[in-house]
Amino acid sequence: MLIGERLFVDYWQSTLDEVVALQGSPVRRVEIPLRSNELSTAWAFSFTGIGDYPLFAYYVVPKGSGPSTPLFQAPGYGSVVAVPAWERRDRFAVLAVCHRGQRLSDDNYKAAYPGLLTDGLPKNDTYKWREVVADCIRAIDVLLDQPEINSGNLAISGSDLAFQSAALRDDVKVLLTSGQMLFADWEDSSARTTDVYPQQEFNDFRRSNPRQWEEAQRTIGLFDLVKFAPNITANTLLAVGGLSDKSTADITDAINAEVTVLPPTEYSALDHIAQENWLAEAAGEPKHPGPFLPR
Amino acid sequence: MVSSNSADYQSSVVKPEDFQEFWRQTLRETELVELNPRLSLDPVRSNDDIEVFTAHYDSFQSIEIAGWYARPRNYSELLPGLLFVPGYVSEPKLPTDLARDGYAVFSAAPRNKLRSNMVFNPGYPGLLTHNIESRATYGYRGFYMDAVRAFDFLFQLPEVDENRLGVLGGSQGGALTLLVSSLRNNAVAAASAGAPYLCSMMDSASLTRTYPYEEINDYLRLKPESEAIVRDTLNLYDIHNFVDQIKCPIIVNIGLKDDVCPPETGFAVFEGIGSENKRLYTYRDCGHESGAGQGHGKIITDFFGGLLSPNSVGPSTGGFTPEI
Repeated sequence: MLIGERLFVDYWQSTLDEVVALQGSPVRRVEIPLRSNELSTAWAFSFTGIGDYPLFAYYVVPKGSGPSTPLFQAPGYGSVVAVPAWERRDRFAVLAVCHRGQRLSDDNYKAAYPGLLTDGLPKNDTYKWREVVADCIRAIDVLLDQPEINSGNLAISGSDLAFQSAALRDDVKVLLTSGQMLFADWEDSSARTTDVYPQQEFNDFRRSNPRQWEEAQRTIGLFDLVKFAPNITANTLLAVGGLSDKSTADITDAINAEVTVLPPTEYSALDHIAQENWLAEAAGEPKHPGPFLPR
Repeated sequence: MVSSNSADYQSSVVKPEDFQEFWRQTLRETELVELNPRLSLDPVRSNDDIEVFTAHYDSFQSIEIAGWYARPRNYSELLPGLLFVPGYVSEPKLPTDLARDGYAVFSAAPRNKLRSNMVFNPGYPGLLTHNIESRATYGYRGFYMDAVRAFDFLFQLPEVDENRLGVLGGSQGGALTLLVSSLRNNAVAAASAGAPYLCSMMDSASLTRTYPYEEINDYLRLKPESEAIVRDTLNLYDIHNFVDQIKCPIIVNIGLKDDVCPPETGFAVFEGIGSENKRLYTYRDCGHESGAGQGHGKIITDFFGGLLSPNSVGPSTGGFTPEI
């Protein structure tokens, strides 16, 4: 049962209902020998999202006896979804979906960068990000249907889409959020004066469509991470950059589970190792020595 | 972990005997294609201070290439120019922040990038090993030329001062920065290359398991018998073999725990740069962003500011962040 204002709850419950209706629809799974290695086997998944939209996902499964901890690697903001990283693929069954508009899921719609962040505004029923979130929820359903995984130990990693996806499900045990969040602090003065994309897309929309901005704000508000936070029940690591103190406090106070805040430092390699170690420990997996090969 | 003697690493790259002739011929073929530069104002992305244009030009094999062009809306004298070249998987930057700093900025989207992928689209992963067993049709041949022609696009703009042109980028953008600075060494006045990719490529594939170099490992896992020919192709394209021709002032930055572009290869390529005015910045415990969190963006800003003398049109609100 979702928590929040009536409009927020109705909006997302109806989206979840659309995704649930897809359960049992065909999922095609084909091995990718080129991306398989000594640690894991790589697969290509094809399935449909809401609106009968064709989606693609990478899925890598550790070799050896299972079951494996399932890790949904939520896509970032850009056209390319990477093959899951070496340091994850020997311990997690990782699914990395290409949401609609990203490469490999762009037969019917090609997302523009910049452009996706405001595509479909101002109306909430046409805003493209709703379908993008729904694609993630659908992909998690596909992941949990795989025979090699321990469905009771679902982990999610990523930025906005990881956070939003985790909030819309009650079966997530571990949530690692990192990177730059687009749907936090978007109304702050610093966001309104930035020149840096993708945040600047909101400013471009407001400048070009001043009469529609009020409605657009209401729509974007439905995606605000502060509103999603009370719905999160997973053990959470907040390792995001650029989040204001107020948003950090609002989010951490609202989350209904243990929260660890680990802001990025100037030492990105150490940050990366710390995040991966936290993920492994929280998911009950052995820590990894890091992404570096011995020299 | 990366050892303390990374700086002593010796690259295994060999310069093929036909290296000069191959690239001379490739440039010749490229320049036979009329650049045909086109600009179209993008009112949605423009603002009171900055004008943004979508850009197109024709490149090697007559393939149409896209880009972004941004400049101060008001200017009374020639503008210094910057070419921004993109990382491997990141989207080409829409450079309004650099335009606010007072530059005319061209941000290129070489073939395979969105908006330039109608004809050539091996994808990501894919580009690094596309036709890798053919020196003549390897995917990076046209890609490299697209970067060079992007610089030519900037060079020919009437509002741009052809004596104040810089190039910058991180990761693949760092590699392309070195490439353009070499192949247009009489015109590039300053360059900044972060965490350069495509350097000592075969070595890199053995030093890391991280994509994009992992694409080479993937390829050779299925086709181990092709290692010699793959090495031969990559020697022809390795940035290591271009950099002795660089003449301009140049800065390079690397993260000493970069698992994407191993720092050993950064040290090696820096050593080979021909310019006498070069400086290497190293950042301990940093990964592929190679010092962005330790203020390297300001070093880049000050470096170009000192050499290219831009007149900013407002307080800078952005910053340079290398991305793969």
